[in-house]
Amino acid sequence: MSTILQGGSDLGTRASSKPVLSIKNLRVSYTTGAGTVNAVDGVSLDIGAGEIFGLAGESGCGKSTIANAVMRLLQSPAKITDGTIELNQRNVLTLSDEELRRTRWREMSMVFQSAMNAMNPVMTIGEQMMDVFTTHEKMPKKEARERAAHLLTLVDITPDRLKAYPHQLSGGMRQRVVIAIALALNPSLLIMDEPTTALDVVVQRDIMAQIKELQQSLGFSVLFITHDISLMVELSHRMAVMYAGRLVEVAPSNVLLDDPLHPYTTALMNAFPPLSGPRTELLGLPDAPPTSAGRPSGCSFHPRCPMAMDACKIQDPVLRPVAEHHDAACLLVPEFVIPSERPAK
Amino acid sequence: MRFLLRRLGFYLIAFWACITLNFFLPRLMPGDPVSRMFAQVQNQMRPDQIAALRQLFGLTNKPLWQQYLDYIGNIFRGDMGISLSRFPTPVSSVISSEIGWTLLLGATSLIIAVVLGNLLGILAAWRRGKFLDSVFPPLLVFVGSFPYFWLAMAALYLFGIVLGWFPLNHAFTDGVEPSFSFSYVADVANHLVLPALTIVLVSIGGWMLGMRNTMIATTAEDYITMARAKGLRSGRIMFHYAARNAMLPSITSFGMSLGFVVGGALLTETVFAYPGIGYQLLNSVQGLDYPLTQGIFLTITTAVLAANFLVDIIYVRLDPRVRVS
Repeated sequence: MSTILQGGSDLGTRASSKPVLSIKNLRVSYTTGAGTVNAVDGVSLDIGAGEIFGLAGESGCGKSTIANAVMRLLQSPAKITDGTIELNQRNVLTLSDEELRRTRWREMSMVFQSAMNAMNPVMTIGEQMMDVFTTHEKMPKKEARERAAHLLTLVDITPDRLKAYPHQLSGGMRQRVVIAIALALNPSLLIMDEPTTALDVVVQRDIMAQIKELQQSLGFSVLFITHDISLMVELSHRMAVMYAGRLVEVAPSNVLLDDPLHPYTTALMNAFPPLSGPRTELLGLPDAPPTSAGRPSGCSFHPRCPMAMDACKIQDPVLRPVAEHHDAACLLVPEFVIPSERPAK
Repeated sequence: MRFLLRRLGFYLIAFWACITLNFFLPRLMPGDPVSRMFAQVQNQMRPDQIAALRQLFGLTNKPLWQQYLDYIGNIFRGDMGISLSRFPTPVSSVISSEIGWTLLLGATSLIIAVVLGNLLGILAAWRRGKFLDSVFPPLLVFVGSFPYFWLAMAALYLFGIVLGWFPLNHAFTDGVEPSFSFSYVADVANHLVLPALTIVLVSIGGWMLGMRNTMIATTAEDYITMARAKGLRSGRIMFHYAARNAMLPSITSFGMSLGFVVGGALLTETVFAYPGIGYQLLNSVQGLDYPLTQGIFLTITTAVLAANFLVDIIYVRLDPRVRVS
């Protein structure tokens, strides 16, 4: 299993071919009584064909908002104020309702945070799998049932569970069913929004291994969102770290693991125990990320940054290449180029 | 199945408790019906007549447990005693002559109100803040908050007297022979419109609001978001995913209301001079007609229990989660 979980070796190169998902300068704001908050503040990213792209960050940094923006599931008061989202070279944001309905699940599907609530409690899992086929492919019921049965075997569940209701399945099985539903129409992009948060670590690893396996045989791209950075490093080819609505570092996963350049990435890495390997001391990050009320001047991370300089309070760093296939948004980065001077991880 | 058997057991025990209470409560009250009849006929009754009446009403000197057993035996034979106010008609025939009309009026208006109200609630919640949602709830609540008798009389005046569209009273035209012919059914339906309409008007708002609110809570559930993400058609999400879950509390209230239908609609029956149990119950209480009161109470409690059992059966079909608990 651990071999399956090894990060891809062809790091970073996949994104250079025509991207499956291309987000440009995306801005999403929430308007509340207290004012307007930019939950996503000018995010750009590309996900190549067959690439697993991880998006990490603390709660409230805007990662789920990006996922929902791509699926166009954002609901008032959230609003996309700027940017484009291209899925297979088509702008998702300008699709009509009917075009959007046809595009959803056929080209992009999503595994939601809690499998517990993602399934309708009064319908059997079979019915909830079959309606994808009957709606999108006008398939007769009998054929849809066969396809659903086949899907279940893909995630190691026996087809006789088609008649089961969600409450009759364990949490892990339920999440596997949700993944099976997500793969029903062989989409080019699978979005996973904290797919294993509610599950215990063993089940988590099983499911991630299964996803990796399916991804290799079916070849879909993945946008994988989690705050569990060690899980992400093992699974994804490339990853981005997000802070207060912006990407602060993007790099191939193993590069990011060995060589984090942004102090926030380092802090995130230190906050999680590795799944395997020696015990290390966990270091927390003091304070909380900026709230809706106010973004600090200059670099939004500077109040919590152990390496903040005076310039950080004034100058707002932009995400820019700092090495091959490696972007970061930190004023300190040029100083970190010589390996011996990097902070110990 | 085991769940239903357990429920059935519970209802049987509840039914037994009802019968028992029904037996003891009147016996805790002072006086007896024969003394009352004796008073009604200005004491012109011979001792042997009194004794015969006492025998008829079961007021014997048998021990209480013996009377209790007799009473239960009689109930299961459908014998609920003799009505005092309509002496010597048996209680069971008084009830059976009226219950048909009560069921017709009550069930018709309840079903219309529930179906329409829930549909309106579903649509209003689905298009929250749009036309249907902003106009209907306040309007229906406004109508529903009129005193019922006022609304009923206004309807009677407008549609019955001024416009003359509907008959003023009774369940069918006097002198028409009950039969299964079209003209008779049409006549009954015509007489039913105004009473049923007024009941629907005052009750529909509650059904709509209740459904709308649960439906709004349901549309915030993750499985609705997932259904939308799946690219399902709006109608399927609305009915199969949202309404199918949101209707569960509504089903419970429907069951409760269904049971109480048997109690009749006193105000409706009074305003429209419509035959029914409600009016009989009022009469029996006013006339201290214990056997009839008891009989009607028993009928109502039985109906409430039966309706609840019916709802349990429906619920098991609609919500798979109760099957295991």
